[in-house]
Amino acid sequence: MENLLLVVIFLPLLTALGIKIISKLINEIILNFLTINSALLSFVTACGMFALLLTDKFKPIHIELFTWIPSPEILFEFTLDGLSGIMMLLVTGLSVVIQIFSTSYMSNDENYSKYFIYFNVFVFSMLLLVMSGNFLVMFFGWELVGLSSYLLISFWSKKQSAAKAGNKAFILNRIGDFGFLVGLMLTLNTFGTFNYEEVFSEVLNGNRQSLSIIVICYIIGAFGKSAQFPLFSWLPDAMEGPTPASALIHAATMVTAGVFMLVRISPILQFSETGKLVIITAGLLTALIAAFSAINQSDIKKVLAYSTISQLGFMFIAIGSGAYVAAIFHLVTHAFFKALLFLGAGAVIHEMHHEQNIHKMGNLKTKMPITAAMMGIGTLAISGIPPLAGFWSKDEILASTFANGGYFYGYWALSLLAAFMTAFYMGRHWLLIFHKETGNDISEVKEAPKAMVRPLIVLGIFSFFIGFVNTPFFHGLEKVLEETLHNVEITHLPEGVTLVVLALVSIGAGFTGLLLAYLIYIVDILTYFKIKIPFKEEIKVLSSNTLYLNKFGEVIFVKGMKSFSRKTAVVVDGLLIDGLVNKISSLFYNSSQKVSRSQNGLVRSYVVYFGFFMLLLIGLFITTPWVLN
Amino acid sequence: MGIKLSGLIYTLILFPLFGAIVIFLMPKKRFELFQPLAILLSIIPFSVCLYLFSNQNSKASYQQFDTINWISSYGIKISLGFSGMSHLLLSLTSILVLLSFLSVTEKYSKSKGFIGSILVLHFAVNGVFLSGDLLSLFVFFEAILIPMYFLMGIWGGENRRYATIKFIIYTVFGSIFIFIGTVYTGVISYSQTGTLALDFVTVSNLNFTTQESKALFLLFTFGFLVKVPLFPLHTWLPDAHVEAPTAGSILLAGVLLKVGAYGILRVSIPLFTEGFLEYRDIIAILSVVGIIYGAIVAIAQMDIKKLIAYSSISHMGFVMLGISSANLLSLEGAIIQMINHGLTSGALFMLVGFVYERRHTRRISDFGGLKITMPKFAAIFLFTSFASIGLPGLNGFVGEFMILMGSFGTYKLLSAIAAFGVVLAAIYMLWAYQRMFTGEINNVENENLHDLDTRELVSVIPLLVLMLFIGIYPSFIESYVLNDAQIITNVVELFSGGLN
Repeated sequence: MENLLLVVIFLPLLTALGIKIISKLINEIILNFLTINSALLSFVTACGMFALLLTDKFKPIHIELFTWIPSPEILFEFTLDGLSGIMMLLVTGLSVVIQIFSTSYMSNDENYSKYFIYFNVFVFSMLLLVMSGNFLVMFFGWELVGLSSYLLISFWSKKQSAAKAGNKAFILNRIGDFGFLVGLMLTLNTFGTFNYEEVFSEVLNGNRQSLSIIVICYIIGAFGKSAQFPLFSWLPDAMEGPTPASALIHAATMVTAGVFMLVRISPILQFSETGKLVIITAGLLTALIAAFSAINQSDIKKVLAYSTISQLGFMFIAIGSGAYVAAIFHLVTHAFFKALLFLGAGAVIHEMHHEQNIHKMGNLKTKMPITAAMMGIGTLAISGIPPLAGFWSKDEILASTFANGGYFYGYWALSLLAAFMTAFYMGRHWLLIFHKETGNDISEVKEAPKAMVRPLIVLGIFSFFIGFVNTPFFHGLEKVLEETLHNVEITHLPEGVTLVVLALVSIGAGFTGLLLAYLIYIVDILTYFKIKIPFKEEIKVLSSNTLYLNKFGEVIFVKGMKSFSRKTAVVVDGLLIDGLVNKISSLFYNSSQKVSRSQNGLVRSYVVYFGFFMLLLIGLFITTPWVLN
Repeated sequence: MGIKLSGLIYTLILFPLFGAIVIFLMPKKRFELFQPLAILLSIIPFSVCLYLFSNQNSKASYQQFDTINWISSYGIKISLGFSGMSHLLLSLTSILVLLSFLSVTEKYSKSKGFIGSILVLHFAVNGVFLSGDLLSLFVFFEAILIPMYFLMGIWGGENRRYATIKFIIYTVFGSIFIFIGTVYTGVISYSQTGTLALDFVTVSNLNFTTQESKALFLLFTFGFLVKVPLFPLHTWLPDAHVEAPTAGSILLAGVLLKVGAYGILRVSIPLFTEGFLEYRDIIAILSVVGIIYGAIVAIAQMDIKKLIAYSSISHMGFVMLGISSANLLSLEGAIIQMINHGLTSGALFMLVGFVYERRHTRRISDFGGLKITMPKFAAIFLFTSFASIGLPGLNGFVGEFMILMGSFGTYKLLSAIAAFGVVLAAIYMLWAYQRMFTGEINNVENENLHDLDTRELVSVIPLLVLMLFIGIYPSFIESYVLNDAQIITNVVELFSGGLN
């Protein structure tokens, strides 16, 4: 039975290979049939495995595939427990829905089959990552999702910007991976193994040397993959890729790998106060900066990209305050409503003939009612309006942060600000696209085709209801994760009145944000009441330029790196080292030239040399006569 | 056992030489036969290597198995020796030679000098990997230079004279030290055993004082390090790579760079361990400087061959870091990385050769948008680039990973710095790929390029298969290097324990 797990993981890889081999022979319809059915099969098997897990009270299932390196023994092994079970369902499930959407969105693309090959490779890599049984297998998945993300971002690489975005994503991720790699070195040298169980039990038994450094290294890795400050600027650029791919990779699954990883190592993480402080601070900074940047974006996908970064920040806040269940909960709900928002954006882009500027849209709800409704659900969900999914998870994060007390009150207040901003920019986003009356010509726009609308409806339903899996009244998710986190100290929600008050405050923040967006962008109160916001233009410029952080990084790191490497190549390699080599060789050459000048072929010179040498010898014998003996 | 091992070993050494003679004896006007014949001739050593994979001896640690008296009055003998590491390097050489012949184009295939030189080179390299004494090691080591001199000097690029002379002088300069070391060892051997026996087994049983050991280690290692090349002895490499013809570059990067590291593993460390313990820190530091430095300089290169050459310096830095860390995992990693670098950079040079044949330029800025006209080429190039970057699942990762994991036990900070080379590798490879392959075609000359043909695909795909195989299942290759690494680890531990 357990081996069915391998079916879940390797089926996408086989599908990718299969499509690659026969791609020349088949048309789109056969390809769709193959890839969607295999995704379905993978999903159904995953459900079966999850049911099996459920009946066994989430006791982890291990599978050892083969020995990667015999000494120290590093196996290729997988683990299925509550945590990886949830991720498995999420990845395979969303893969089905988004592939159905893609069949319509990518239709008639010249590289249609290639798109699905990359897509399946991604799903395989992501499953490798989440089902990993040790750090090495996780690193395999970690790097391979980076590869497939690179391939999909630069999918339309005829556009130089797409190719550049792909590079940027891969390289910034690599900086994170460097942290991961050093973490691996430390782990192997401290514990002698990569296996999660063994490492965790060592730590729990008191082997906690250099724990903080190990944790910090993994945190750097998580920052790269999950686009946290300061490694986040690749994610907005990654929007160059096809929109459905963005939905799966850069919204729902891959970017949450960092969150998943930190929860996975929570048995280690809980002992490092420094690590947690770094996580929560970076998470908060990211949530605020990204939310601020989202306010004045005009690209329909860029708003969502910044929103993703900001929401990932929330998940990091949750981890930093010890609320691991809340982090995974928000990961799950976010996956649904963000995938929904991205696919909705994809539908709009598709019908607007690849127009992505939201100022050129407006009042699309008359033309695309279903898309507008579903996007509306997504917007309400992300804004934290009850009873939609986002409310439950975001509220749980805020409440858990509050529950820690002390300086966490400050983190709670600022997170609340970020939540308010979320509602504001998401409200603006939806209103500008679907509601605002503009003079733009949208007469030719019509509702997206069925293959796009149906996935939207499915995701809409989930975005509405998925929050109920873990409410203060029903701790479903907590039960699922219980076995995984049974040695981990978890921050619990406050009780009674506090919880209710906190919930009301966060609902209030959501509503205020939405309302303010409505008042500013639709009713236009600013002009009506002649309100002047100080530094309004400056704030707008700062927002659309992400506080100039990208430009700063560009100048310092990209330009600086290039000029530094050029200077090294010219000065150190060319002038210094090679110059020295050439100097030595010319020294030999010149001295040999000088010596060879003495052999000029003139007899009189040789007579002089002869005489001179004789004199020298005679002089030697006279001064030191004992040489002759 | 069926076939005797020594017979196979003699075949490995002598058959390429025999092949070279056959090629030289061919009538000049039957030039169309040169290339097919060369392919046939190099299949023999290749199949011997393949056969050896089924032989348990090919996994064993070093064993000396045949000696021939050369100058018997002084006891000078020629010995042959063999181990798992030799076997892997021989296999690498034979497959690279075979594929180079396959990939050779019209222009060179008609020249018996070119093909003969490669066969002589094969002979000399096999000789190095099989020699069991210092003298024959030195002779074969020097013999490599002769065919290389012709390959670069006659069939090289525009600036070939400068590059060839630089290469020769650099290497000969290093070899002087090896020669002095060999003579010095001979003197010590004569005073202790009464013969000039220089085979590794005898030398390892000699008693060196600490001073002697240090001096000999320095002499030999310096010579070998020029070949590796270790920073700052590397500047011959970029010039040599750029000017050498494609087949020359493949063998230079694929095989010749390994000769130096092989020498250190076979001679410097096991024979002069005390010296090694004295100087390993310096080598480790220089390796890490080389890893970072090579990668940084690679970023700035505008010539794709030069870029790959500097990346070789970076990758060989990993090998040297693994060697100087000298624990089991890092040594295994170092040997595996030697093989991996041979496969990956061999493939990269072959690919650059393919596109050079079409465009007669190596400047990165002359390309752009090649993915549109040459999709297969672009895909293969990207695959190989990722192997070079060290993506898990491909070979490059295995070696670097094992080296880093192992060397961290010895040099914590240095290994952490070295790990940053992984980031830099992504920068230079992917940036080069982006400039050469993506975007629109804006150079008219790139518009009508034809994609790789069958012959070219056949010559490069075996390398890709090996990259994938090693990356997914490294246990296979690991089993061939285990014993070698174990022996060296034991020796090093023995001496460092003795010192404490």
